[in-house]
Amino acid sequence: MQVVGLSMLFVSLVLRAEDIPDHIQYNRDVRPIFSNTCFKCHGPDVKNNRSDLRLDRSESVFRPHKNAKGLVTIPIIAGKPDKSEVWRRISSSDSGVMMPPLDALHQLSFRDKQVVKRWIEQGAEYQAHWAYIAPVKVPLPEGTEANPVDRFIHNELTKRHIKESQEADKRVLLRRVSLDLTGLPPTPQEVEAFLSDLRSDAYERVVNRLLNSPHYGERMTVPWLDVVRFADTVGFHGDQRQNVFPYRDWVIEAFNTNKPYDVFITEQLAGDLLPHATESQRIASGFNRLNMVTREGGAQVKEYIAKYTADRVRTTSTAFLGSTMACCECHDHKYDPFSIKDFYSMGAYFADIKQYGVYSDSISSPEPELAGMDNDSPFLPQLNIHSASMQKRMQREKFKLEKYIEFEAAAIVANPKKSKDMLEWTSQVREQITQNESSWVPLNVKSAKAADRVTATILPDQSVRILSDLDALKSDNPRLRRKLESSHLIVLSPRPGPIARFRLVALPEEMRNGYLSRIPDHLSVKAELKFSVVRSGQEIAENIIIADGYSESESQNYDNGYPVAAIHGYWISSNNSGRVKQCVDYLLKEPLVLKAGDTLKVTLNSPDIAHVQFYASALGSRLPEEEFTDVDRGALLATEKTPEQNLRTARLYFLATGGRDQGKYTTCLSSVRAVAQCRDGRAETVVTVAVKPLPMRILPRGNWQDENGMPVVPEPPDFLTTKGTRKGAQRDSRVRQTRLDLAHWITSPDNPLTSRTFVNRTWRQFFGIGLSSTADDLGQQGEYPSHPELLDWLAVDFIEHHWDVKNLVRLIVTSQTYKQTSKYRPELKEIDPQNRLLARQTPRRLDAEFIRDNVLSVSGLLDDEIGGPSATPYQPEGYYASLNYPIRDYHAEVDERQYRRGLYMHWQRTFLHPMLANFDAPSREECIAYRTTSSTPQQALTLLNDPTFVEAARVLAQNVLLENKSGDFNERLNKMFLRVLARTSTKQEALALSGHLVQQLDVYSLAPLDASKFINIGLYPVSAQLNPVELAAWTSVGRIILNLNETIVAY
Amino acid sequence: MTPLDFKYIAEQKKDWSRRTFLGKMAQGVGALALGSLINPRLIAGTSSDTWRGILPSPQFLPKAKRVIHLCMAGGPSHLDLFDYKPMLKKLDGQPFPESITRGQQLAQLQNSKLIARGTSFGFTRCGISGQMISDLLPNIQTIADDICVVRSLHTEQINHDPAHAFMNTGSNVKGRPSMGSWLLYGLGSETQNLPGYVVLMSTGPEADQPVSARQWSSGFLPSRFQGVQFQSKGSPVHYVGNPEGVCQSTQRQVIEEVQRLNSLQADQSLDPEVQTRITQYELAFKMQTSVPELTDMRDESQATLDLYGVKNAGDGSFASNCLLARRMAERGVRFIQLYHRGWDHHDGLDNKLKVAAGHCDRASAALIKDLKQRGMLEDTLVLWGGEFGRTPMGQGSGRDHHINAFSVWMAGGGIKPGISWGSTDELGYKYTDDEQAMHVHDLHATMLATFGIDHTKLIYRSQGRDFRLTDVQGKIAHGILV
Repeated sequence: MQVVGLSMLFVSLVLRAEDIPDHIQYNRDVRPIFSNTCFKCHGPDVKNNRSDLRLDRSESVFRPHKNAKGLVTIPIIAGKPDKSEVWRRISSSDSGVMMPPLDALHQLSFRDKQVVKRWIEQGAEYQAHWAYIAPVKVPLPEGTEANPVDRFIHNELTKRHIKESQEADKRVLLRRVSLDLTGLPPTPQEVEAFLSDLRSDAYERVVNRLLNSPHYGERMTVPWLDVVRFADTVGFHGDQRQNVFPYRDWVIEAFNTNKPYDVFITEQLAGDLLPHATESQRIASGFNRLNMVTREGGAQVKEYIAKYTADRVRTTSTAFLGSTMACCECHDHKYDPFSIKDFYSMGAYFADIKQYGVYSDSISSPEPELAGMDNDSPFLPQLNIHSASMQKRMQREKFKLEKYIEFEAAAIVANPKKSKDMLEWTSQVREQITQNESSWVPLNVKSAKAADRVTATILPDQSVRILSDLDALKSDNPRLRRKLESSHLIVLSPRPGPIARFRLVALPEEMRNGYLSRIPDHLSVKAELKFSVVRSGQEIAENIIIADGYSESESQNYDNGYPVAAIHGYWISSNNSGRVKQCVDYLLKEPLVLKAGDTLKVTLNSPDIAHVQFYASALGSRLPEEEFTDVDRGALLATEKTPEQNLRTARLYFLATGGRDQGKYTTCLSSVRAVAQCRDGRAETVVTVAVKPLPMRILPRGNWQDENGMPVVPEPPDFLTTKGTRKGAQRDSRVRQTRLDLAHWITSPDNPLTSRTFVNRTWRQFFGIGLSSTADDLGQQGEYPSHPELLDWLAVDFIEHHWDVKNLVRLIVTSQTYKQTSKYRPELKEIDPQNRLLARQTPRRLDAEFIRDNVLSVSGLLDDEIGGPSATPYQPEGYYASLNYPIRDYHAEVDERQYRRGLYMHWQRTFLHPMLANFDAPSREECIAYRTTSSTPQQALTLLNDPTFVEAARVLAQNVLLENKSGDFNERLNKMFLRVLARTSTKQEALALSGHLVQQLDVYSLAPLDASKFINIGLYPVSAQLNPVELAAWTSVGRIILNLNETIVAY
Repeated sequence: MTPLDFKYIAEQKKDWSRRTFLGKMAQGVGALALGSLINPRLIAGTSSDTWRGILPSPQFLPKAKRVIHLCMAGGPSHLDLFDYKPMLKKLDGQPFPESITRGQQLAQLQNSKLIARGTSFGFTRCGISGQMISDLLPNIQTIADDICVVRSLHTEQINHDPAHAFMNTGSNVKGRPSMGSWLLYGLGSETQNLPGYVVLMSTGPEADQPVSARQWSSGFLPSRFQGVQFQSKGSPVHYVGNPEGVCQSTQRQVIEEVQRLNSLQADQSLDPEVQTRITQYELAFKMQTSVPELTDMRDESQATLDLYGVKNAGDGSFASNCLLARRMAERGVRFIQLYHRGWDHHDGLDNKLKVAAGHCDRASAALIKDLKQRGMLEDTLVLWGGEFGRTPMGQGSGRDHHINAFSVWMAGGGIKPGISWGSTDELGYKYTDDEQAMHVHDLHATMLATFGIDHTKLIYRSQGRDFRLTDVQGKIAHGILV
């Protein structure tokens, strides 16, 4: 619903507010009035109740009460308002008597009072709050409709003598259901197929196709990510990145494989606690780690642990139970029967989660596992997992690299000049290859000078031993030592010839018990290398720039939280490398050719390494793990080469030199990096690891420093436990409950809230508003449902079908109610301004992500890969300038990842991408059950000027022009309309746009430079087959179409 | 928004009209006196596109129409700037009395030996009012008679991120609206050509503490009320510039065609929301022209540039931002928030204070003088201060975060000039708990009061609860109101 335009709607609401139902129902009519006005003092929060009257339960109101003056009155006498104190108070105009008092925030309207009066007249019958009683399936209302949904909707409409709208036009319907189920529009082919399918179940077939599409899971995942506050960054302070995308991929997969909702919840809350937990279940448990966390220096562990706990309770209650427990962090709920004890007892379920209050290496609260952590470090604990998407990406990147090398090698062979140079290169490297088993040549050490207080010794095998005085170590401050004892200078005398790579080998040191480190009890070592060359006869050293470093073993290199394969700066050996030889290969940014007499200078920065040796290789690297083979050797050394050997030599030559083309060499290096970055198809992700639970107590008024509160154990909220809602056998009450018990309690079929909450939110997805509009609050302050029996019927049916989400979705979207046209009905404006009766569909603006997906899809830019690391599309420059720890760069993707779907966009909690923020996407700091929808000038500016949308307009135009070379305006325009709106243009539209096109052709033929600038926005190549002026003019037409209201709305 | 929200807002408006009527009778304030601020279109809601605010009429006599918040991010040391403590100076270098600090929350100093640290800077009694202000701020010293220095402010959050959130939203829970958003929700904006709530950012020589966009988030309020950050690089507002190769007249034509086609569609679908979108495109185009006009400061005189100390207008410096803030104030922006990242002085305090003061002192004073000479100070509320203060105990060569007392100053917009409000103990550790004690909630209540708003009545329902900027607290410091 739009925020604007509300004044109009509210007027109509006020006008019709005076009708009072004949039969008053407590839940529907009275409770909202009491809750809003009276419960604050006469409700569940007994501490703030100065009288002993509670209006929220029947036990209290029919008993005599003594008032302040000692007079005995009875609050309510059923059937007799005139004798009831409640009525006397609310109808009084005497300021000493009247209720609510004059200074109360909420007053009773005339209608409110009449409702209460009539309710008392009719017997003052209380009902338990609707959402806290188990839902039941009432018999379907009479009718001929096959779909149960339609029976309930029809029933309410008939009562008011309103007829349903007719079914939407097939094109509109297809676009609607495609956007609703996959977040993507139908292709022109799909439109054509649907129009020509005249079978009676054509629509059902479409629905099944869409439900089976992998994009269904993507679409369903978006609202779920809001609910669980999924983001790529930690949110507090420096807002560093966290490894979390495998969780998102798990959710997509869960929806696609139609994982039952109860299992879905259980694996997220307690996947790690399931017997023989699988990798997938442990990834799901990452749910418990999605709360915001901090790395701020000076933050206190206990304070932040309290914040994390409260966050989890708020999320659990809103996400699964549609309930608001937030208030209970400080006091008992004012409206609902949740107590402060319930809040902390719920929090106690999460007390076993391994986490750190502050994820930094702190002197005041040292944690051994956080030692050495900096702003680039990940947020532990993490799981190293197999990622299907990374695996796939790696295959693709390898293929790309292979193809590239193959192509270039063939080109070299075919080019006589290059072939000649190749021969020369071959003769230069021949000696290295012949003398060494691998291509690696050990480098002789000319001199070695260690840092102060450290001794370097050159050993006969040309390795260098670096040792420090052990006694001095004991007395020293470790931080100081690292500073003082790190920098060593080693001079090497290499043989002449080409060099493409250096290798550092860290050797086990016998004088240190075979450890790599010279510091006792130190399992890992770190090193940073700087190389320079001193040319023969010269004094000044020239720096050698390293492109990337790769280590054989699993390294621990992170860049702002993400693992990186290529080493920049320090290489840190893995923690278990203790006594195992380690190699690190450094790829030169430009291949080097040494002459006789040249020397190499190595500055080795390492506070701990004990024994090193250096090597060089003339050969370049395909992949970090691939080495020089015998076949390679054979090819290189053969004097009479077979064509195959010749080609192989060309490959090696190209890898080592780029064919003497620095641009190609660089391309090759970055392609190698792209493969390496897939890390062998593995990824890291934050997960839940259970440890000994922290003690948990009530924090009075939420104060984390107050230790006087009562200790609590994990327990579900009191008022919801009594019904024996726990699955399976009753547990021994002396055994501490776990998150698994919480999951079982939430997913128990007789938990009245879980199914209703999910069904209500799902309904919202297809009608723009829930059956109860307050999807985040089904409590007493929430809205009584528009169709309570339908909501309950669906909730029960959902459980009966074993929490089958696709079944629920199918039931809704195949209903006639859903299929109605959304055309506005002025005659219902007064009766049903919000369209709650559903005598038509409601047009719904697309969520931010789908606005993006839609334009990428219709233009043909969309990258439809499922899952994988989040992507970084174009973003205004300097947007992260206010971030720090670490200082943030933003690199927009330069390949197909630029065109990934919205749900894969990098989600920076403190600076959400402006496009997402402008279209109401939440920052995901807190659980959000539904988004508000606003309409702002910023949205118009985004659609008009954001390069993503401008580029999409151009590529749309480009594709349409390429497909329709005939040049017929109408044909081209209709192709565009068909792609974007699944329909052809009207005469008026065509007229307007043809005028615009002609005008723009004029504009751009006079300013061809502007045309060129305009069509060159974005990465996607401009087709050389098209006239730039024509393309620019059509791009302008495309921009108009992409900016239409219809384009961003599901009608 | 849900229908419940609609219903709620309707109720809210009913409540308001009844209440303001009663209130006015009680206060004896004639309705006519308030006429200038009451917009007749407010309740009628004849326009579906512009938000005129939820409040139909003020509760008190309104003085302020806009806020300029100069946020000294990082936490400036009150002890070196505004809170003169000779006793602390005397104690300099000696152990800090344990009786004061026992059981108190500290940030990085937790569990360390606490040593008193007196200021290294002189203080001067300034102006007729005789307020004590540090010699680090020679220019602010000259406006002593225009400002009200509050020395008893205190907050609840000791780390930057939550403390900023608390200062802006009155809560440390995320997802709450910031004060600028509350004001827009309550009063609407006076301009439709510019965002009603604008944020500007400047940074000292070193990259300092980060400041998150959540600080100007509208939280659970509709996102139209969120602050818009003006960028110092590229186009000032995201996407406000035309795409390359698109001239202004083409852009105009594109928008016109979009409007025309949208109208055709509105006729056909009868969807009332299309009209709203049409209006938004009109506003967007206006913004595309008014933002460049706003940020083009070539029409400012050299004297003005010199007053603020602007070297290059539009360079993103605090001085340039102050000047830009005045231009926004002139154009009807309701809430202007300037962050200067450069006040987190855990070490090297003396030098870093000089640098930060050097960046902020002159322009802050210039802003007051400039507003005053243009007759705008009386309806512009200026607030100067950080998210917390700093410890009277040293931390090496600096000071740690401190929440028990810190100083801010206010000027204009119905605040009494040339007065001091509240005090601290003789070591500047804790606010004096008297009627001049000021919690952040009290600051918010007082700020809203200058707009004629009763802070207990500006409410919004989210998840079933009525929320206010002041939570369930907040008392107005009547003593500093004109």
